[in-house]
Amino acid sequence: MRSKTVWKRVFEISLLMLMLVGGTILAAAKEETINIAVPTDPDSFDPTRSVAAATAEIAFNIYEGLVKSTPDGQLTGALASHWEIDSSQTVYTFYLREAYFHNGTQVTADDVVNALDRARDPQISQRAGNYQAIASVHAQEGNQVVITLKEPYAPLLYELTELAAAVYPKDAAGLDNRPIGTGPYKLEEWRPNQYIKLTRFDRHWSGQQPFFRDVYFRIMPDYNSAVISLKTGNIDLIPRLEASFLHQVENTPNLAVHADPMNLVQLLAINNARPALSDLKVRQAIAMAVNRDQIIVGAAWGQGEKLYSGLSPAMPEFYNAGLENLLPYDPARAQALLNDAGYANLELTMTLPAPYPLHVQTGEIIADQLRRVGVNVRIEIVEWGTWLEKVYTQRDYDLSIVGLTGKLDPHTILSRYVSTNSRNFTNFNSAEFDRLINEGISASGPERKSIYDQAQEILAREVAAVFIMDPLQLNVLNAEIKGWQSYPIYVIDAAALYK
Amino acid sequence: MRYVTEKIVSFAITLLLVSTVTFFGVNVLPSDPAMLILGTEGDPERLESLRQELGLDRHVLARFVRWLRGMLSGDMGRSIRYSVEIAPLIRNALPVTLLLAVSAVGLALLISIPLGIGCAVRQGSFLETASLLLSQLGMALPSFWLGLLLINLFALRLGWLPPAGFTSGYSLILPALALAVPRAAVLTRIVRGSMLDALSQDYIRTARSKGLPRQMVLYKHALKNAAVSIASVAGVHLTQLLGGTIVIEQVFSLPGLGQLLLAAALQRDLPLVQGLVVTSAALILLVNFGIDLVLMGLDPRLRYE
Repeated sequence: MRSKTVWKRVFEISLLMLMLVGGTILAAAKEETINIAVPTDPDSFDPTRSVAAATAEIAFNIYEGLVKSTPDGQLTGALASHWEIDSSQTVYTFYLREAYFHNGTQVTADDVVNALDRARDPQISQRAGNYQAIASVHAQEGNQVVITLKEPYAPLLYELTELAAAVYPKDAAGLDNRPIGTGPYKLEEWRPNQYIKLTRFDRHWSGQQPFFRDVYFRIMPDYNSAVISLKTGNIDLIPRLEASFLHQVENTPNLAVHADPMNLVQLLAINNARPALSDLKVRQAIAMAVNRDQIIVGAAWGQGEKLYSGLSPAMPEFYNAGLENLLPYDPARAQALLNDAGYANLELTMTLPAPYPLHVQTGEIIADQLRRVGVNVRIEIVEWGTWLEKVYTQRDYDLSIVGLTGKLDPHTILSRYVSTNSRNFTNFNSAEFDRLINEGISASGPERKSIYDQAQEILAREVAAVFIMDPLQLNVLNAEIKGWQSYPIYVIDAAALYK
Repeated sequence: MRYVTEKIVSFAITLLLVSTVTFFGVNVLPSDPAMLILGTEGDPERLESLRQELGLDRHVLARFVRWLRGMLSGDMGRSIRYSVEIAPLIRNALPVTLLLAVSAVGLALLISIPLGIGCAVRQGSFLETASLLLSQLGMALPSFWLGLLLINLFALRLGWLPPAGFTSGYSLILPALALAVPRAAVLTRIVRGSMLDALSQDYIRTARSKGLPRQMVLYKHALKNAAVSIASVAGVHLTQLLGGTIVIEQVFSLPGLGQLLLAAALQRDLPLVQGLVVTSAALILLVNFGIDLVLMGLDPRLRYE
């Protein structure tokens, strides 16, 4: 009897110790790892081929260019420690740091020249169009790279922060799924539909080591399961959670929600080329019939910032804050304008992209608001592929709702409303606007700011579209994790996170 | 021998038909991968160059022939969406779906056979009433909803099992259960029905009157005969699951064939859709063939037809 008790005790103690040891090992492993839920896989890690935002936000940790963006959208040196621009605004000289690639070789000026030459070659790069202002790139004594422009082009530095301008070894091959960059993390493993595993790179030029050794981006297309996994601790971070899930995560003690502007411009696209809609009065009437407050509460759960033109306040340097009262919400006036224009009983179709509940709900609310001023709106919900073909490419629609992702430079964002631009799917046509955008390319300083202020005013007054809101990006984290940084572009800065 | 040749020929024809129909079916859909990749940043120039790079500028027929030729030489091609070879993509996803489908049907049988026999043997008992009631409920409950309930209870409240993703075998318990319950509900009724049918046959009365033990009559004589219909219904469920665990894979974020197919179809990744459809079709044909063999083993009459 006695010996049985002793054995039982020994067994209990050893079990307890085993659990303790095991627990410590597990905890230690967990300490070093962070799990981030993302909805889709990257398309390709080859900078010349990738176009998906899903890739850019992960690749930010792997690749670097000469310069990169800070969390507030300013420029800072990456592979270049600093740079000089000559007085003609056409010769940029970059001074390279001592930096190493993930494969151990040192970054040379030749690598940079090769990467940029490939980035601007239309035969090779998907984004070559963004770098057509460049006349030549060459290496120079003293680890310098000189970029010469055909004519002054203010957005250049911002374009150089893009993944398309990332630097990789000049003899690299198969970057599609084996990227070699200089960033704080290197790709360890990519299992499509499961996860992307990044591991800390020990020789980053900053000399600083990220807190987490391993970063897992886990593919979770369904936000429900991502939210539950966050609550059970299997996931530590959900970037850009849809607003309708907010009530499931707010006021939860072990979770923290960071809400910041996304720099996404959600708009009611109006096909300016359609007979009734080519009438400015009709477009202005539509603009005055839209009640943004109602939409933000009804479709975005209160998580959005009102917009009045094509730039979001997430771009403080260029945002024109004085457009609120240009065409204020005024249904009576909207109705009067419609009567005036001879369209008292207007019939329109609104084509909405099914995979984006925010846009669909926004559309439904706007359809209702328009009905109140006598515009009869028929809603048509289509799948994303159909939307891209019909609305975006063929421009065969009356009204639609979509979000345009933000860039760092106002030119890249606003140039799509230029009458001849092939991305101008609202068919907006204003000679004055075209002239301003053309001027903005080579302007600098306060002059550039004033040009884009005017351009934004034209978009609002002549109603290229009704700009609705910049939905807040809801980044939800396990409360133990600190250091989250929201960017005005698609970025998950894993190196900044710590516990 | 003739049987085997016939089977192989019909396999090949079915696969060819299935892949032809999918290929042209997907081609009819609006939009293409190039357009979807570029999204709201696309312009005609880039669209054209991307289409060229992806080989989408060639004629549909030319692409189909090229794909078919690749398939015949064992090359499934590259995925447009993931920029990687298709074969390893499918190789990684296949075990998840296979394991899920087999364990769901296995679990359903494990639940339904004892319950069904119990109901048949004790007609009018509390067990029968309760089982039939529960089975009604089980059949009415969609798998995905049950899945969400299971996640809520076992992952969120109790914390016993992972809520989503595929990290170990444990990840499959909840989804398999969610798929098994509605199937168990159907199967319980099938088991009960076919057992009742078998038990009312003359040979059972004969066996009983010979004085054979009750258990032996039940399991050796009755169940063996009932097994034919049970196995064929279970087989149908298995093939159904192999082709369609998309919803449950989505709910549990499982990296199986279903999720891969959904992603591929939404991105118009035609080569990947084709590879997946052919794989599932081949799988279903194989499983059907396996079920035929099992049924022949169970019922000698089927062998001579």
